[in-house]
Amino acid sequence: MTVQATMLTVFGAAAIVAAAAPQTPTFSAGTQTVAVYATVQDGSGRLVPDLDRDAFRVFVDGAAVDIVQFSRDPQPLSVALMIDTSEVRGHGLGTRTGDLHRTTRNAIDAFIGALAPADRVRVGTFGLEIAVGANLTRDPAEIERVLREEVWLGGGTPLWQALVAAMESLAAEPGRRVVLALTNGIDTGRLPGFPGRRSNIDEYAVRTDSMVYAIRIGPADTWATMTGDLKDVSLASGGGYFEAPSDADLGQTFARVADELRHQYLLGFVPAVSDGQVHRLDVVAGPGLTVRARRSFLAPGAR
Amino acid sequence: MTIRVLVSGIACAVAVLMTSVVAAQREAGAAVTSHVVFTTSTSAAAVTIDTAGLVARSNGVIVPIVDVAAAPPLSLVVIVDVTSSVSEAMVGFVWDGRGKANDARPSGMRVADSPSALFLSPLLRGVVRAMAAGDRVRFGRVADAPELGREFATDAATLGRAARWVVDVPADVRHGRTPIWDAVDMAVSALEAERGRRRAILLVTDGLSTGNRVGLDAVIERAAHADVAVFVVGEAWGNPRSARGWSLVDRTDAPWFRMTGASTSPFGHLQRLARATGGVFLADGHDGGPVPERRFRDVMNLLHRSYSVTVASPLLPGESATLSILSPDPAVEVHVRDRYRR
Repeated sequence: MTVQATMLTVFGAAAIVAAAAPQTPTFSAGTQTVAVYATVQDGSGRLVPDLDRDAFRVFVDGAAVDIVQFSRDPQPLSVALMIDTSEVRGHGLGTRTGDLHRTTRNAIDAFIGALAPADRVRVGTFGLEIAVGANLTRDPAEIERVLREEVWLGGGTPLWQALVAAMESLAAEPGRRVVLALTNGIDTGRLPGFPGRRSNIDEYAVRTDSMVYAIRIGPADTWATMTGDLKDVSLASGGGYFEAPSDADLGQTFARVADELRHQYLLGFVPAVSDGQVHRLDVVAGPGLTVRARRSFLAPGAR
Repeated sequence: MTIRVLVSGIACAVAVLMTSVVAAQREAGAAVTSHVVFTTSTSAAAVTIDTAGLVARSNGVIVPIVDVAAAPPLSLVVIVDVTSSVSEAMVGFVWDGRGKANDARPSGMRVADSPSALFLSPLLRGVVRAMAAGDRVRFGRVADAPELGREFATDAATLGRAARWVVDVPADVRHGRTPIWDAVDMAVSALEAERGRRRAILLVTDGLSTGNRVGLDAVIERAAHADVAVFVVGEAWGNPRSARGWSLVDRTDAPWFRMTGASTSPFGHLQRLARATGGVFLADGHDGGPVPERRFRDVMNLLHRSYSVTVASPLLPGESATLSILSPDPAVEVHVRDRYRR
């Protein structure tokens, strides 16, 4: 599929925003409602999970829009967990036999266990090749199988391409779409056959309506200036950026990600224009609160 | 006598009768045939086999061997992993050297071989030319997705075209997933229709399996029960070695440092696959060892020296059991599927 075709497909999916759980607010096809998922923290970084609709304001291109849908209930989640298996990264991630460190596997297992029954995960890797997991599943045994059988260290870090491949793999899934990358955060170049580069990664995130969560593993001061891009991409998509200095920190870090994903607000609004273009989006809450939500969205196309 | 007592009596009689029938069936045994390869400690075909001294066990219990014969003609699916990891290696990073030291961006530097340079001639010479009369071969490949060629064939011209199709794969699809287990699963499906023949798979791969829909355990189970033996030629990975066809993917004059290549060994999975299905694992390309053509010939030779061993199984239809066959000669290794189903 060409990039152009992919974009068209993704656009079609993005224009029909839907949430699947019957007990939660549902956006029906054709309503032109756009969903935004927001994480709110107080001044000390603690999650604030109990706000009402009135606490939020949404702006499109600087103009306020009405919030027509609101929910504090976790929406169904599809996660593409992408593990950086590059040679440099690998020395912190795995053993010489290719198995993930037990601490890493435990952290991932705990993350899977913390998800809701309706949530699903696929596990992929990127290094010498980019391999998005085939099965989107909630089955811990299948996740464990992939971690045991399909993680191989070696190669470089085709980071942006891997993120795009993961986004595309979720583009047709309902509800929230999250790409969660466990990586050293340093892109080392491209592989044949994959789109995705720093210059267009934000656009892919917008068009696939994907949130990027990144866990950068490694000492905080190592290559810090090079990993800034990953942080920017994550935050612009409404996702999150975390640092885990070592494997020992992964359990806590994955738990924070899971906690965030359980406490996101759903805000829905109807854009004033249907021009098929990307528009700026700002979400604010009360004083002293920080809101993380995607910073742009793709308006539905004209009919 | 009440009706209730009468019914109970009939039920008891039926139960006793059924138990007797089942016991009789188990005692009589059903003929179950498995294909077997005998090798020496160096994985070469064993020349002298004492078939009269073989001992077969089902679920650990000795069962009679009712027949040992040369295996029927071969139906073979050859699956070649043409993904980049088989023929490319990351040899270092190039730093662009612009700006401050901390701003320098690394760019991966790879050396690459081509599937054609690595495998075309070995497939033609090591497999097609090594076929015996009556053999049927079908080619397949793994490159992001598993694919099988159109059909089984017996003639060199058709198979030559199929072999070229295997290696003529665009670079665009060689850097994605490597669903090796899915490919084996697909090959088992293709072989199920090849009844009354020695059914086997020749899998050529470095074992870096990713993106599978089915897992290794499920594939082993299915192949073993279908008596499809998987022979594996395990390619050294991250180690392109062809004298021609090399290319430096990212060229630069900037300083670079050499990365270690493979840091992992995926052969454990491949060895388990071969062992459980009655195949043989052969490593290739390590320490200047055998090259693909020779390994392919080794596999064809083993397959042509296969036997069909039939045992009287105590299982009832639908039941499963472990299976083992031992040779009286400790120098001979017996390769047979490790489970079967009646």
